[in-house]
Amino acid sequence: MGSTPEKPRRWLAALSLTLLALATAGAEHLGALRSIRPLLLDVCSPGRLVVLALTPFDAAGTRSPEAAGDLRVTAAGSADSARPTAAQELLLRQLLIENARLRRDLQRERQRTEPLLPGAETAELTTRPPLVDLRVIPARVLTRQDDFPDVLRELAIDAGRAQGLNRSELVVQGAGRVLDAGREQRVQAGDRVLDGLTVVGRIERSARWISLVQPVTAEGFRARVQLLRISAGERYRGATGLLEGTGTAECRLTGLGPTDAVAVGDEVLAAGVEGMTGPPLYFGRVVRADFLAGGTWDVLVAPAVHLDDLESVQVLRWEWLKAGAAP
Amino acid sequence: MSLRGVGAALLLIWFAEVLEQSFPGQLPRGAAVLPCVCAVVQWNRSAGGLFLGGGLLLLDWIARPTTFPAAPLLLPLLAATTGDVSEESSGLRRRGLRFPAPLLLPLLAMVLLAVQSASLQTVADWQDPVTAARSALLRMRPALLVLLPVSGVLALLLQLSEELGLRRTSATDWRRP
Repeated sequence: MGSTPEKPRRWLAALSLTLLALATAGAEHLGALRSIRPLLLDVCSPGRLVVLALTPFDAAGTRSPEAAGDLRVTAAGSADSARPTAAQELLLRQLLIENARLRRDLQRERQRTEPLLPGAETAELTTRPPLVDLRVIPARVLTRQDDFPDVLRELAIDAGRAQGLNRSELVVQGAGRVLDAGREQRVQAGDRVLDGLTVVGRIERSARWISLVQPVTAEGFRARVQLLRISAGERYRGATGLLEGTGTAECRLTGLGPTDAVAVGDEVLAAGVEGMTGPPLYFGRVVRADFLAGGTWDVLVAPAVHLDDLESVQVLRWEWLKAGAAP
Repeated sequence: MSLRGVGAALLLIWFAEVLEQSFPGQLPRGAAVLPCVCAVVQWNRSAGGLFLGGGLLLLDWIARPTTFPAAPLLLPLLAATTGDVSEESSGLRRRGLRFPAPLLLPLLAMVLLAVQSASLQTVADWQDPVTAARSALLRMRPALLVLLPVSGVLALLLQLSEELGLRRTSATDWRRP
């Protein structure tokens, strides 16, 4: 018997591949493969991330530059003339992979935080049918003192009188900072006051046009919070407790059990909004954590943002919608 | 060529590609991928295996282009020349270029590495061929330190699997009733 039928098939395959390679070279020359390249490189990204994760840290706490994709390290012969071009190609490849990963992370992050972006008039947490209406109402801080200035009070009353309103609809009495958003904008007592995703206070009372804010550090402020520890890039949710304002620059965390783990540097997040799982609202960081002889914790939390430092804030408002009452 | 074989080949070359991209200094370009591609082609001495290996090498070139796709061009021709198997009454005999079977894979990988190193030079570099060739050889040296052991191990594994009857050549397929 002569040669097997495999022989012409192999040569046919070789010829086809050769022609295909030539065509590919032409397409590359014309720049037609630029869109495919990131896709091909992305195919290797999961493996590269696994390799990076498995690469041990060195003594300085960083990964080896090879695994981290540091292209400054080149092989022997780096002095030759073509090396910069090759290094640039490698760098471009690494950057493309990194760029694709960052774009994906950014997209996920946007999807997660978009409902809370300042300026969003109305954002819905759910699609259809919406059960909860989440509103972020922008507001300006009118005063940074506990006393409502007489000048502002008179201005508000005069403006209200011109529209046939009485005093009780215009001015709130009490201590706290005043915002220029009130019941007219559907701001109500109990609403969280935010700076981005950081809680800076709570609406204590609201009038028609203005509201009174109780800062997180004010006496009487209370909120259910949960500790979050970030270790080696991982997030671990910890004990829940009650964050109370003390009237000083710091808050006290109470309600922790003797077996709960608390450490300085732990982050403090809202444990929920109105008992529901909500967006990850941030309060601040644990700055002191002493375990007392009585088996209790004395934990102080420094708020991340002080209301006195802000000129504008956002009021977060949750509202249950009636079944089927989609806007 | 079975689907399982295709999957294993894809996984092997993908892993080699990942390693090369993760450790560009320790694993120069082609040091791991080329022996794996050659092993895939040698394992499946058929048109399908040739298509698979050559196609993957071409994809590698698209992902990491050089001046010219020399290795993807040369691999099919070399593989078709060296891997031609025919059957005679006395048994199997290779036609065309003849090499000891265990040496075939390292030789093929080395040739591909050489042409790939050459293609890493720009066209302008080749205006001075001596300097360009020297530069290509310098570039090959660290890659060879990895390529030779890897291809040697793969060649031994191929040979071992053939001896143990784990691999089925196209010729044995042909001889099956």
